[in-house]
Amino acid sequence: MLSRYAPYLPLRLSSLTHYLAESLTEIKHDAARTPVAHILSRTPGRRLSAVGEQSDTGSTVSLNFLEVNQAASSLVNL
Amino acid sequence: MAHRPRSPLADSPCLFALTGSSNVTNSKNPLSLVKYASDLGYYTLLDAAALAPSSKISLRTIGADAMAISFYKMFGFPTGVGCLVAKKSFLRQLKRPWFAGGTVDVVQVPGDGFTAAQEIHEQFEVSFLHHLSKRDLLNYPPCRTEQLILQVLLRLRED
Repeated sequence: MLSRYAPYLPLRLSSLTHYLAESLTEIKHDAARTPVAHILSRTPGRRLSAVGEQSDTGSTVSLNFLEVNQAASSLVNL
Repeated sequence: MAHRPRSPLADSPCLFALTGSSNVTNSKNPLSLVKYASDLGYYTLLDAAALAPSSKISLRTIGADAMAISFYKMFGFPTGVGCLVAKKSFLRQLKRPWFAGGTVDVVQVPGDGFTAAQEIHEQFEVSFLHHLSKRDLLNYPPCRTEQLILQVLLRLRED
C-alpha cells in the first residue's frame, strides 16, 4: 500500500508545508500588526508541480510563537 | 571531513553517519557527502529515518554501506520497529560485545562460550520480532487502542 501512494507524497507534503509556512508567516497580532510566528526551520524552496519530483526539504515546520512584544512564548515542531 | 582517517582503515575503521533529513531543521543534507566520505576511506551510514517515508532513495546511487530506517514513521504503530539495511561486507566489520536470543546458534552452559548465528545478518537480529506474530501485534496496547477507537467511531450515528 505504501508503495502505491509513496510517489504522491513529495507533491502532497510539499504543497501542505508551503501552505502551512506561508499561512503562519502571514498571521499578525491584531493591535500591533507584529508577526505571531517566527519559523526557525528551513522552508521549502521550489514548488513541486508533478508526481515524481522530489522536495528540497522535509515536511516539518519548527517555529516560535511570539508575544506582541516579539518575545518567544513557545517552541513548536509541526 | 577535510581529513582522511588518521590510521589505515583496517587498523582503526572510522564511520561517517549522515542524517538524510532532519525533522527539527527540516533540511535535507546532500547525499553526495556519502560518496565523498567513502572515497576518503570512511565506512558510511545513512540515517534515513525521516528521509525514507517521503523520498525516493537509491542505495545503488548513494553508495552507503548501511542505511537505518524507522518503520513507524511509515506505517504508524507499533513504535520502535525499524531496520538496518547493510552490505554484508560492512556487517563483517561489526563486532557485538554481547549476544541475545536469536543471534547465537549454540550457548555453552556452564561456561561462557557461544557460537554466533551462521547467517551474518542473524547475528544482529535479537529475537523480539520473531515473537511478534500478527496475533501478538493486534494485542499490542497501541494497536488495541486504535481498534477500540475505530469500533467506537463506526458505531457513532447522528441523532
